[in-house]
Amino acid sequence: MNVILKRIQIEDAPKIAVWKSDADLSKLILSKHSPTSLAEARVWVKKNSEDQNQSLLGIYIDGEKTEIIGVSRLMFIDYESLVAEFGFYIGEAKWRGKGFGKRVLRMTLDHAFNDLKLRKVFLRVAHSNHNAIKLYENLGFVQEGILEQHLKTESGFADLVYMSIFDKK
Amino acid sequence: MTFPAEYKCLEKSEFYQAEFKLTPIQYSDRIAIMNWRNEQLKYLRQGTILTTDIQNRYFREVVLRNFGEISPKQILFRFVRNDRLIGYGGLVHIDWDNFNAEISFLLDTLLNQEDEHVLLGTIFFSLIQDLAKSAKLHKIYTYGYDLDAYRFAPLINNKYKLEALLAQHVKIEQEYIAVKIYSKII
Repeated sequence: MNVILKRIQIEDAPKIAVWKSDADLSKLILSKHSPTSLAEARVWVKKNSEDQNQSLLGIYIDGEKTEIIGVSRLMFIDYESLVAEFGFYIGEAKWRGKGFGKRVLRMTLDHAFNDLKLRKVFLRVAHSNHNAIKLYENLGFVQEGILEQHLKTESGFADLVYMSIFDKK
Repeated sequence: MTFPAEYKCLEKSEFYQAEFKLTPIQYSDRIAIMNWRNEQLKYLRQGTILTTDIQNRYFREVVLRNFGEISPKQILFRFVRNDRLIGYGGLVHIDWDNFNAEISFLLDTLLNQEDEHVLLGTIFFSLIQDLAKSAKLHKIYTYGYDLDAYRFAPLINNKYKLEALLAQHVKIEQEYIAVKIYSKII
């Protein structure tokens, strides 16, 4: 099954609304849970698509029909320092754990280094998310620090890890 | 224009240590702050020179609003010695959901020589802890460019911990510089 990364369209807003309203997904991606209406999702897509310091991409799979299954973003792009923060999620639960993460990551890094000519990509991930950390390390990310007790959880506070990768060119 | 004397989000808005005080920023501080920021641009995440118009608008529209909010994104203070303004700073990027905030700090350019910076900075970062406690935060941190080692001495003096070193993270004067994140659990 082909994975495609391309600019998110307004037509994808219904899925965005569902994912942003998903409390479990919000915890997974360290985002504040924010129930979102379709109208709000449309505004979100428009605003973030037009943000000059962001590359907002939809993750699509090309099976019987092309379907959006998640979002991949390069955020806070610093065109002077050539650095951006990366974040992604597979919004459709049935497509998680299927190896799409690695492909999305490779494609996004290719976009960052070859299309946008960035030098460094970094990300932040919960220390408890061992699967994600392993995925990132397997693709060449290294840890640059651990911010202790940086995230509030139901049982206390959790640590946040900074990881990064440089363009090898 | 006069700003309020208190922030709604804090139990108290004044913090003292000997002849030093942190009190809520005032509109009248804006020009001095603008000049210091423009003179010390290389240490700041500020891309361009500030003008009087931009600074006036920022204070009237952004800074003033923070006083009345229950969960403002930032709270700024004047740092005074014997009632003379010597710097400013406060808590920015306040994350009320995760109970943490970044510390902002800038001294009068004339007081920025190494020994004075370390002395005054050590007092400021001690007062900021009291402020963060008043805001009921769990953690405070700084995000600083690795340009001059002495600028981190006030943090070390106050037992902040170096938690991250982001290598070659920012371009300053044609060189790629690291960013250091120091933190303290309150």
